[in-house]
Amino acid sequence: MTFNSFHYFLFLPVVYLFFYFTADRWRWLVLLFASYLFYASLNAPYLLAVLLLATGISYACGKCIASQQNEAARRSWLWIGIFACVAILAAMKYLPFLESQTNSIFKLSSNLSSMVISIGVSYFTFQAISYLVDIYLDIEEPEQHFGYFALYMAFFPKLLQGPIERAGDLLPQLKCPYRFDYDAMRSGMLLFTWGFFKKVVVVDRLAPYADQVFNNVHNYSGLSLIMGVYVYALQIYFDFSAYTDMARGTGRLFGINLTENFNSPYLAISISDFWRRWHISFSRWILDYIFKPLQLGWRSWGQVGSAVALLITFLVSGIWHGASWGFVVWGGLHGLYMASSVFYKPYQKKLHSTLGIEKTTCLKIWQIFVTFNLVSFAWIFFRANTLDDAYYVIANMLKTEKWFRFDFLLLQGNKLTAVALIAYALLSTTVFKNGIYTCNYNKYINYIIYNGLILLIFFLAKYSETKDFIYFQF
Amino acid sequence: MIKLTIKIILCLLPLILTAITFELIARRIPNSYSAKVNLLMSKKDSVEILIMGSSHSNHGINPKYWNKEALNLANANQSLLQDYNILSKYLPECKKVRTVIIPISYFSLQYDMASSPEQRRCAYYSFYMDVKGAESARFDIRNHSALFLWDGPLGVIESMRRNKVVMNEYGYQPPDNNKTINRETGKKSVAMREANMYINLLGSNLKILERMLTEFKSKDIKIIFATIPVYTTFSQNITKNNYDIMTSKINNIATKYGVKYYNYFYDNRFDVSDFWDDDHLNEKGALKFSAILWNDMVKKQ
Repeated sequence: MTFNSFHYFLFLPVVYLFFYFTADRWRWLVLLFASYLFYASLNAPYLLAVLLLATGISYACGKCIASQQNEAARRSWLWIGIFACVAILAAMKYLPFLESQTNSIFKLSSNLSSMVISIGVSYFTFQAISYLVDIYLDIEEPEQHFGYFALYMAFFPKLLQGPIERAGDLLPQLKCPYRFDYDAMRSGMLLFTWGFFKKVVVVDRLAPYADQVFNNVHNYSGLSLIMGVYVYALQIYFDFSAYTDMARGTGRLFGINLTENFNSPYLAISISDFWRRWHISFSRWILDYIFKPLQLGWRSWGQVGSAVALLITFLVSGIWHGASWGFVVWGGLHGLYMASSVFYKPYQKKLHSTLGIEKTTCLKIWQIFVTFNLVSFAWIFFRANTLDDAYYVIANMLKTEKWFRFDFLLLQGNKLTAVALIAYALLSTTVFKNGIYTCNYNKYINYIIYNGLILLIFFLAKYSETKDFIYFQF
Repeated sequence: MIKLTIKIILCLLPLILTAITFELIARRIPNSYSAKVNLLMSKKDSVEILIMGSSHSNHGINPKYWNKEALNLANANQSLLQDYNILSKYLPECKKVRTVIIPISYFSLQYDMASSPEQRRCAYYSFYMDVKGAESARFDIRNHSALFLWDGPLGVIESMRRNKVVMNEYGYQPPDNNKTINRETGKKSVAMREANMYINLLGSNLKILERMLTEFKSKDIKIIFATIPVYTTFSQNITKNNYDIMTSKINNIATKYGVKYYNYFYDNRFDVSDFWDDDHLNEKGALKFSAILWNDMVKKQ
């Protein structure tokens, strides 16, 4: 069951009604049961066992860390917890890689990993690690109520694809007595509908273009490849932000405000700005739990220490996405962008002030353009099926021979894709400019907007060949 | 809560009304399934031979020149289960039917529409032929809504705009322009067929055939099995074992129930000019094959 499935539209109202009519003290149980049911609907029972295992281990380790006075013992419990979580993550995520390596070395033909999916595992193990570290650093108190802690780990709107929530943000909200709030409900539903629009109208119509190019790279060159890369950049953003909108919209129905994960990332003026706007909960996580400890350890190295810490942090982020060289190169590229900025940033600032172009619109547009292209360049490695394909795309992007293949544009439904993008642009820049939930016009205009959005989805949605959310695989 | 519920209903009302309108329109889109049922109903008192099967017989058997009134009820990807369900539903209304031709394609005995990528087609049978029971056990909204079956409102509008079913008065549907036929296309066609063939379906398909033979024999209806010709680019690339299974099982069952089986799979009277693609006859090939089949049916009776 995914947010864009028919089943979810039945599941959500039923869960809400149960939640609404249940007394406050038992509401956590309704949400926990619903979350496990939601996870079980993936037809992979072992996932539920993995979630329970990670929940049990982190709950127990959290209590042990807090109960110990001795620093060494506290640290031991922290590392035991972290090691267990990383082991779970590695086992689930890197099993296919390990199996393929073992098969090739020992000439075996096992295909165990083809039956294993790891949807959501990364997200809840990251939450578990952050919970343990926060307790160790005395930022958080350990949660005493196992039910609330289990719900913190499993809360279904953020279970499959984040946002990665901190215990300090989510746990207090889960314990808060629920009061029906008309505005929160309205904004939640609108946010969900907006995310749904992005997914079934925009993403599902963009996907065939990127797939066409990246699954047959050798048939294309020049502008077709460049367009394929840009289309993928849009696809992955809309896809992921659509999911987050739907997750946050769902959360809001239950009185929970989940972390905002995106803030117009393609309007970033530098790569570091991009990472403040893209997958925010994840960037905060790697910054706090990987970069900062590394930087602290190497602070005597000065700028070099920060640069190396950034490089390693982003390499880890690449590896987190999966056991593929494409992800490693993607992470490495972002690490390189960030690490190099440590050195050139002061000179860049000086240059801008000497030229007197600081804070000018032209500079901002130029910076947005450059950042978007650097990010899009890295996406090539992220999306390409193999490293060879990625090199081919880069080597042939600027070739004028077979500059443009019209069959790329002639893919079925290209007019509708254009209509979908225009509708998105109009809606997002006019009606929903300052966040969908602040759309407060008079009731008649609001009514027209709601109906317009719903009917746009009805008419423009792609009913066949719908795609799963891209980040499910991570 | 009440205010919100009322507003939700008000917001969804235009959507619900539009969806209902499109659902009703979608159920009236002209298509080969409804066209064949309408044809059958109009000829129910005169038709004597029914032809079942998949696109192989849909494009391959044109009973125009047969001496008895015959009707082609085949459709793309139609499996034996659909054949059986259609016959069970409509045979009692067709009092004069005495012969039913069940084409056996290379894939027929190891194929089930509901578990194939073409499973959405199962819904056409329930919507347009009123034949139920062949849908996939897994929930699929397309089995319950014609609107979704036709890919939403834009799909419905597009299908209504096309509004064309090319079919003669005997239910025969000629294919459009010939496709390229060569060794590569042959390999691809075989691979496509074999990708949806599962040996574990053999038992259930044989049971369907036996049920058909038992039930219809008691109603004095003769069953004839026929395998339609394919071009050499297809026949040379098949897995021999699958073919052997098909022929031996059908021969066994034919012998057991005393029915005829005509196998034209490797028939060398057909050349490339008779084929639309590697495993489908074209209009010319269909007339040629229909004449051969008719002669054999009459002569060998």
